[in-house]
Amino acid sequence: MLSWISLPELYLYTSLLAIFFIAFFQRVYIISTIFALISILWTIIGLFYAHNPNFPINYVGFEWLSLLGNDFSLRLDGMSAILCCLSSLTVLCSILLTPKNFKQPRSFFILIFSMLIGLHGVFMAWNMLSFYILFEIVLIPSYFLSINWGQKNSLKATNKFFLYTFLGSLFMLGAILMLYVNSINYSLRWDNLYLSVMQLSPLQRAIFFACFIFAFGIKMPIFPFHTWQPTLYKNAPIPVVLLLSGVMVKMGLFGIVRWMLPFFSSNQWHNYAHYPIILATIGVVYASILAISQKNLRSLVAYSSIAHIGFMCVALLVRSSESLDGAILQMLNHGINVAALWILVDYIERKFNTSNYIDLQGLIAQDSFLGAFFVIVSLANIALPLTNSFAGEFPMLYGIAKYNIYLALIVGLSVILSAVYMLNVCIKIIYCKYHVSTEIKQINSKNHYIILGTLSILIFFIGIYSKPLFQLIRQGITQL
Amino acid sequence: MSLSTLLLLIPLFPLLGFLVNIFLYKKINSNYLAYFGTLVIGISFILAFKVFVYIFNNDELNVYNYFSFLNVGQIKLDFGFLLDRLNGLYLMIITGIGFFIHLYSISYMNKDKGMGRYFAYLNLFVFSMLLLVLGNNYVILFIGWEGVGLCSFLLIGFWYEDLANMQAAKKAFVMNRIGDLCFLLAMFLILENYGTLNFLDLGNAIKTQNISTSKITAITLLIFMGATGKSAQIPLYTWLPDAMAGPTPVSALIHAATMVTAGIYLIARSQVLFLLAPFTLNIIAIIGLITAILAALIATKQKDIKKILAYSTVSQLGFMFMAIGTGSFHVAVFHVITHAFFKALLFLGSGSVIHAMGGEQDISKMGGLGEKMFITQLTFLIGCCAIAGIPGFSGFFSKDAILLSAFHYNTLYFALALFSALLTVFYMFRLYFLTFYGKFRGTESQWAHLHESPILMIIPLLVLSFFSIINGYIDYPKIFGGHMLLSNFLANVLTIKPEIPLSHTTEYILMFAPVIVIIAIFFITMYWYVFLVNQDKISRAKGIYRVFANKFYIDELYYFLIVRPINYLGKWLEHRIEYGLIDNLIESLGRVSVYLGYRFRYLQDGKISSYFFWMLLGIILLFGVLLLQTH
Repeated sequence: MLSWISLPELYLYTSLLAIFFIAFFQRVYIISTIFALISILWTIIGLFYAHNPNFPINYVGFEWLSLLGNDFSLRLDGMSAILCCLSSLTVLCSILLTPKNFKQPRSFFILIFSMLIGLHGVFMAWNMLSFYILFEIVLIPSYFLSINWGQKNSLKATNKFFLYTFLGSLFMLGAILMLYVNSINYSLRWDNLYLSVMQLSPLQRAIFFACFIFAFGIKMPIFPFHTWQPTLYKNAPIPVVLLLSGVMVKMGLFGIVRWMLPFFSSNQWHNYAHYPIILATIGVVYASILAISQKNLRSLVAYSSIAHIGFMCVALLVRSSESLDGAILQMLNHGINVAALWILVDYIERKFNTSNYIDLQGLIAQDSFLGAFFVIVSLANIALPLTNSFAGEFPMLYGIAKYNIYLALIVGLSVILSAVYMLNVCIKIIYCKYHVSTEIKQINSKNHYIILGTLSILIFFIGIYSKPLFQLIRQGITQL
Repeated sequence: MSLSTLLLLIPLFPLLGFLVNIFLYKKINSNYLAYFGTLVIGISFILAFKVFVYIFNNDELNVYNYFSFLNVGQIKLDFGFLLDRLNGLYLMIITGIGFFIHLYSISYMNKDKGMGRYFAYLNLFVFSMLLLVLGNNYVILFIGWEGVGLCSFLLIGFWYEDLANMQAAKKAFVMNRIGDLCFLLAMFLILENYGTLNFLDLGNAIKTQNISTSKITAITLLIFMGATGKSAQIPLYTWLPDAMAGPTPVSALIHAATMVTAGIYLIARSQVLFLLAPFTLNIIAIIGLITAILAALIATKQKDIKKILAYSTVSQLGFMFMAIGTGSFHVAVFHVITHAFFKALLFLGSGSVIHAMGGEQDISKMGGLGEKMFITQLTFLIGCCAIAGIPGFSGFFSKDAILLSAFHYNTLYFALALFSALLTVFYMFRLYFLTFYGKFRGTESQWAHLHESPILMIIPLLVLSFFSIINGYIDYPKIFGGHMLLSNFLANVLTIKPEIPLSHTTEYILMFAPVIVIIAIFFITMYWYVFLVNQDKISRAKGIYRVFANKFYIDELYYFLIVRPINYLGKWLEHRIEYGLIDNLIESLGRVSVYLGYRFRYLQDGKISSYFFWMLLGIILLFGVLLLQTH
């Protein structure tokens, strides 16, 4: 089947076609929804083929810069299939979440789909050069999306975000150039990179590690490079924040797994990994404590997300097989959970015109569906067993414990602290006596509930039966 | 029906009840849902009984795996159940007591608008608890463990409009989470050292693998710390008294009979490990004893009927841990069984009282209730006798077994344990007499409203009192010509310490000397609280009693040592570090680049002459460098 076209192409062409249709036809909402659904369909099909990356259907290579010994190649394996699926799903959520009276919907959706192209590309890139370019391409739409549709402070926040991540990328580019100069027959293809990295002197290898971890660390973000995130999340429009926190920040984590881990032997890796591990660990506890004292839903989700990403980062960096698999699954889980959280925030903001705790109380009395979903998503966020996060966090924490039990104890504090901040917010806004001090609007809640319902089903399904996903991930990893 | 299906069905019925209740409670008359919720537990009980009969006749270990739950690297876990005589007993307690408490709840909650939600949570609780005891590895147990924690949260905060209830619910969940983290770490250590989390494989691995004692001690200590959270021991016990904010049947089921004994189950399940760690057992013995005494002392000065029972639960759980610490695991299980019945009875009795008093829980405003509530009074008396250890009632046998075990452990230890047992007599009969005897101290309208509870509430009281009496005889001691049925029943599951023979005289003295004291305390308490008491005297607390009445100020201590510092730390980090340091630093970096740009833009001022100047300067510099290099 489909021997004349590969899955990566299919993913990209779908988004390109979507952009074309949105640009030249009316009814942009429906067109975008349909194309997002088609994209999801392809990515789900991808899940079934990705278990063997050697299928010809999973690979495509374009002639590109062959003079410099490179090409533009994309390849689908287990990990990328999962993350591509997450990207398409998140894009659908953000399209459904876009209000009907949004300004300039046409350009908005075009930017969303160009972001999707970048995201799919990043997760499938098979050449470091194409990875780098796609990594940067994602930045452009996200910049315009948050600046043009954001709240009044979004200019400063977005500039900060852009410059900050761009600074990181600059270091990455430097490292790539260094690698290129030293590489075997000037190819930056993934298959050839291991030998190229082997040839580097220890100092060069350390520079390679440091530059990449810096770039990815800003993207994720890990402590102390995280300050762009809360400000941006507070000001950007929620459909965009959904994409940023659900998928874009995973590019950093993904980058570690795909473009750093395989090229170092275990000993070399652990020589360098101490430092980022310490930072990420501090970040987990730091962000969790900060999340407790937040007074606004958006910043709560931002800090909770930083804590969770830090957790995943530690799990990746300790590099035991369990924590690696767990962290990759957790990327998907975190995407689902954080998307659900943003949808709830969006719903609350639109209905009650505020996301400050102080104005909201006892919402369950007003809207029992909202209460139920809020509690379910909170539970998933604190990794209760039988929700998806537990399937990810248990192996992650085990891998960390195998590396160092005390580290597991510190990182594990987030198990307690996440319960504190999530239950705090539940008590403050969901439970207690109903009281809202702002004006309440009647809004159409159908879309929100459809998405939340679907996401809740996913939450429990992955939590109970994670086996197929872990198999997919493992088969993706064994290729490394 | 095969045993594996049967085992699967036992928890599935409560799950079905939960799903039906949670999805339909807005649409269907909640009375039907309540009956449905009770019915599914009844079916589970019948199935559990079948299983129990099977396990009674065939003493074997049955393991069934259903599907692969987590399979990552070294972690290979099936979703599977295990059945042996230990959890067979637990199944009976959970579904049996669970059924009667559901029955009681139909009547108790029938005016509440959230009844469907209530039964949904209660069913979910039974499901999780069954998962906890049925799991054949630590992770399945942990699923149930967290599940009961969640249900406990939802049910403590059942009346969610009241902030205090929600705070109590959160406190319970978070304190449990602290224990859970320790439990998780314990699991990781087990998995790393023994390569398995299966109970069965672990038992085999321990025999073959040689793991250092310090590691085993660490593992067992962590497991025990996990148990202190769920089973409300020092230092994580303070959530349990607050948990009384939930509806009373919930306190009976979750916070007395089943969930809080999960810690005992966990340790009994991990017995192979604990037997190798004498240090941990000593710690458990000491913590259990201190908890038992501390909670009993606090209970003597409380005025809230449910708080007294809560502290008494903490104290009784302390007794169970004393049994474990002194090496008699089966005795702990024995006390779990007897305690489950009499404490559920006492809670349901108190629920009956609260129901009649229109929600009043303060015993200083009660008194003389016996006049109007004969059955409640009678069953409450049976419960009090059972918990106090009056001969013939169930508590006598189990507590005596614990004291005997304490006597073998250490004489001083025995004396302290006995002291705490005697405190039990005092605070329980204080409660009993203040509630049911003397003059009524409440308002007149309350007195007029007083009534015996409806039949659905009475039946569970009667059934539970029946069992509170006869339960003790399942382990009738040898000294009375007994057969030690329970001990023999559990002999294959739990390693039972060979008994050190005592002379019959010693044993009789150990058994009946306390009885004389108990009876003396009974009469003194009666005299004091029936004839001498008035409202003023109950409320008064001077000197050391003030410390008891204020729960040793432990809550305040935790607040000042943990809660407040974390809140301050959060604020400090946010203002000083997040904005003051990190963000400021990043922004100054931005400002520096802007400043530099501002300065350097004069290099491009558009004047040819200055461009020539800079060019010349550059050329001179280049030549300078070249000159230096050639030399």
